[in-house]
Order: sequence, then structure tokens, then C-alpha cells
Amino acid sequence: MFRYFRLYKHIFQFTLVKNLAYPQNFLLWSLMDIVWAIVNLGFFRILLLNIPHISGWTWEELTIPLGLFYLLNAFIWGAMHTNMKQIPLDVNKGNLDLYLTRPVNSQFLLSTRNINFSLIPSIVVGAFLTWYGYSLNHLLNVQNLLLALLFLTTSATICYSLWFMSVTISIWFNRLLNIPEVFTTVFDVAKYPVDIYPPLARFLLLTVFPLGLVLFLPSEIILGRISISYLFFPILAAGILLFISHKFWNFALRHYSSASS
Amino acid sequence: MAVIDVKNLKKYYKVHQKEPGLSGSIKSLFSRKYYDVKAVDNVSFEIGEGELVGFIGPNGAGKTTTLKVLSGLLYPTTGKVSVLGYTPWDRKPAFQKQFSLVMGQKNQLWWDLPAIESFILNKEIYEVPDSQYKKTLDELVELLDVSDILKVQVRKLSLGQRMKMELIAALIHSPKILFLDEPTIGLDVVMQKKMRDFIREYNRKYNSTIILTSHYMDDVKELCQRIIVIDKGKLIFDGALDEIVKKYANHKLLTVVFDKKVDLEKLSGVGEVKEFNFPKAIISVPRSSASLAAAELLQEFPVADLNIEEPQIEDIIREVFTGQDLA
Repeated sequence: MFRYFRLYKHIFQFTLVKNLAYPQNFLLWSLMDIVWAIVNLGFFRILLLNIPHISGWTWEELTIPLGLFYLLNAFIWGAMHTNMKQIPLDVNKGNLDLYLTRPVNSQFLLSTRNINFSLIPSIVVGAFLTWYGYSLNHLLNVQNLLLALLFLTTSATICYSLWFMSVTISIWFNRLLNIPEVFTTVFDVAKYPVDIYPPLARFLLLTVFPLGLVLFLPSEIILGRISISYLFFPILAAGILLFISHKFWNFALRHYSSASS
Repeated sequence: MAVIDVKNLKKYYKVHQKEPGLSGSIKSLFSRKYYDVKAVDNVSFEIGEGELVGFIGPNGAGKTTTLKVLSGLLYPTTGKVSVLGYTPWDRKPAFQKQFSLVMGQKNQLWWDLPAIESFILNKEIYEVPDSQYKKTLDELVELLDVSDILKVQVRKLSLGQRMKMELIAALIHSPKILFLDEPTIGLDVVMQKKMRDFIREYNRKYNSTIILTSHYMDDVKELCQRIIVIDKGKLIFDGALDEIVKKYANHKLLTVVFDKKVDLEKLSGVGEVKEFNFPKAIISVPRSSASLAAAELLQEFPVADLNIEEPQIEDIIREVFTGQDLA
């Protein structure tokens, strides 16, 4: 385990050096990210200036899931997206070969080899918004901050596992270059309270495809709207999905056909 | 003792067949016909410790597929494979730490960083102790003469320099087995020679087992005592390089230089005239009657010089693949 941290430390340093080598790229991405955050936040603010709440969520309450959303979003686009979009390309070109011969978990190597540091503004916006939400709702205390950290970990694990499983499918089809975008599109549903969806969709979002557990259920726990014992669900879902994604990956590799060279 | 043991290895791929044109594409959306491509078809061989074996065959013969099965990238359709006592596709880290796969057409180095950074990452990945890492790196850097470019960004290196760095990255954990897939591809003649010298020296110094595939016969001729020839997935020859000459070259070549003009028709009576450009002629004759043909030439023709030669190894191999009669 310690070895994996050391490995990640090296990869982190390498990608930082790489990112710093192209500062223009970094600045443009950061700027785009800030504009996107403002537009997105503005949408909810304007909506809630005209209506009192969305499915029982007022602006004050909504700042908490939205703060978590930006933090999670920074993880998704900063730490994950560059890696996920590379996997189908590697399958297609046979570059997976280099990763599969290493005496390290190939899923780990493929999932961590790149980081996009231009998502830092998203982290700042998310952290600020969560802090602001906590203050508005008088929730600023150590327990709630720890809860936020716990939920960010479980939510990141849930998102990562679902995403990795969807990308794993490319091993069978060899040319599913767009499959990483399926998750990013579907992830948008997590941005809204689960209650706004019809019963069947709500059921799926809380069980099979548990994006309902990544923002709103944690926020309800933090806000004290439901019992703290519910935190068991995201933890369980994260554990199970991570396990399945690992098994699914190993199963899929049996069907990896590489590419001729 | 065999470190690589392959028994009845088969690797079939299912490939879908499509009729040409748009209508064919639409049809294949509804009913797909599949057929099996026999990439490797019942291949068996053993390789002992410290051997340097050349894998040769035309494109698509199954060489790379075999290497990929041996390194655990591909699951075979059937067959038994043992490398260093491990089943490769179990991908046990203990096994993966003992071999290296170098593909001339793929690179593992971090493009925007100096190669030394990739070596450090590999040191962590392969859990190489500090002292061993330093020793191995120093030795490899000296053998390949690259001390001045270790800290240059990989993208600024020439292809030859990059290939040297790829080799260091692949060898930093001192693998017992090395699979080299086209290591000299795209390199100029001087660099090819340097690579060969390095591979030979590495094999000698560390007694590592090396399997090498190459399209350049010079690589194989200079490096390998033993060759395995694969064609259309089947193993067609496994033995010493000069044995393939004995086995497949049923003919010898008589190279003659004449004093005076000779009649081509009369010359054709001795054997098959492969080349005739006065004063020189090359005649192919059956191996068993080479001496008789030479005697006939000396008696019947105004011969200034005569040589009896084996055909070139390239020609033999090419003709084995194309199924032609050898001459």
C-alpha cells in the first residue's frame, strides 16, 4: 500500500512538471473552468430567486451539495478524465501492453498516470461554496467537515468505479473511443436532488447506478435532515463498486486482443 | 534447464467478415459472419537459460502474438506455457519482475521529461533497491554510452538515442528474460550495429535469455545461434542457423567466370542459369550433383574461376515463406 503512495507521489511530481511546461494550456483551462463554474452557479441562483425551492431544497441548503459538486467535479475532470479518455485509445492502439506487463496493479497505473492541474480553480470554488453553505446553515464544526471529507472520498470512489467499468467495455469493442464521455454526460443527473426524478429513475440512482448517493444523500446527512446512520449506504456502495470494477477489469483483460505491431 | 516451455500453443482470433462496400457494411450490422484467424497454431518449443533465440517469419506470421502470450498479455486459446515456472497470463508480480518486453514501435518513456525520470519510476514499479539501481544504471549507461543525454527531454532525442533509453528503462530491474520485438526497426545502419553489439554483450555478461524478433536478417545472423521460424502460425523450423541451410537449401550455387564467350543454351544443360552477365554466370544445381556439375563446367567450358556456394540465408528464408523451390 505504502508503495502505491510512493508511486503516486512520483507520478504526481511528473505530471506537475509536465503541466508547468505548458503554462498557456494551464491558464486557458483554468479560465474556462472559472467561467463554467460561474454560469452553473448563476443558473441555480437565478432559478431560486424566482422560486422558493427545488424539491424542498432552498438556496441556502443547496449551497452544500453544490459545493460538494464542484469539489467532486475537480476530481472527475482533474484526476480522472485525462486517464479515462486515454484507455480506449490505448486498447485500440495496443498500448495497454506496456501497462499489463508491469508488476503493479494495471488498473492503478492506468487510472493515475495523468493529472490535469488546471482544475485547481474548481477546488477553490467548491471549497469556498461548501464553507459558505456550512456558515449559512450554521453547521461549521469539525464533525461536519470530517463528514464532508468522508463523503467526498466515497463519492469519488463511486464515480471512479462506475466510470472505470464503463470504460472497461472498450476492451471488447476495440474502437469505443467516445465511451469515457458517457459517464460525464450521465454524471450531470447527480447535480439535481434525487426527488425531482420519477420513481424508477430514483430507484436506479440509489441502487444500480448510485449517483444519488454522491451529493444529495450526503448533504441531507450533513444538514441533519436524515439520520447519520445513512452514511453506511455511500460507504457500502463505494466498497462494492470498487471491488466490482477491479473484478470486471481482470475479467475483461481475458478478452484483450492487443494490436498487431 | 528450460526457462521457457511452450506446448501446443494455439491462439485464435475471431474476426468478422464483411462484404465490400456500403451494402456490405449495412448487412454486417444485422448478421455478422465470423471466422477464426489462426495467429498461432499448435506451436511447441523450449528455450534454455542464457539462449539468444531469433524468431523469424513474415508479417502476420504469429511472432509477436507468441511473444505477447509469453509475456502474459494475451490468453491463449489452448496450450500450456511456462516461463520461469510461471503461467504468464496469471500476471503474478513475482513473474513480471523477471522479464521485460521491448517493442521497437512502442515507447514507455515519459515524452516531456528526461529519460532518467522514467528510470526512477520504473525503479519504484519494479521495487529495485537503491544500490542495485545505481549499479545497473551505471553499467547500462556505460555500455550504451548515453551519459550526456540522460537529462535531456525524451522528445528532444533522436530515434536511436530514444531506443537506447527504452532499453535502459526495460533493463533497469535486471530481467532474466528479455523479449525484444523489432528492437532495431527504423534505426540507421550504424545504430543497428550498436544495438546488436549491445544485445550480444548483455546476453553474454548477464546470461539473460533473449528472444528477438526482427525483419532484418542481419540482426538474426549476427546474434542468434538458434532460430525459430514461424509462418502462418505454424512452427516450420527450430534449430541452428546453418541447419536451415542444410534442411531447405536443396541446391547450391556455382559462380563461374569464363575466359571466352559461351553458349547460354549449352550452359543451361548444366543447371538452372540464375544470372548470366558475361564473363560471370550463376548456376543453380541440385546439392547432390554439385561436384559433378562443377567438373562438367571445368571440362566443357573455358572457365577462369569457379566457386561453389550455399545460397544466402535471406534467400532461403524468403523462399521457405513463399513456398518456392529453393535454389
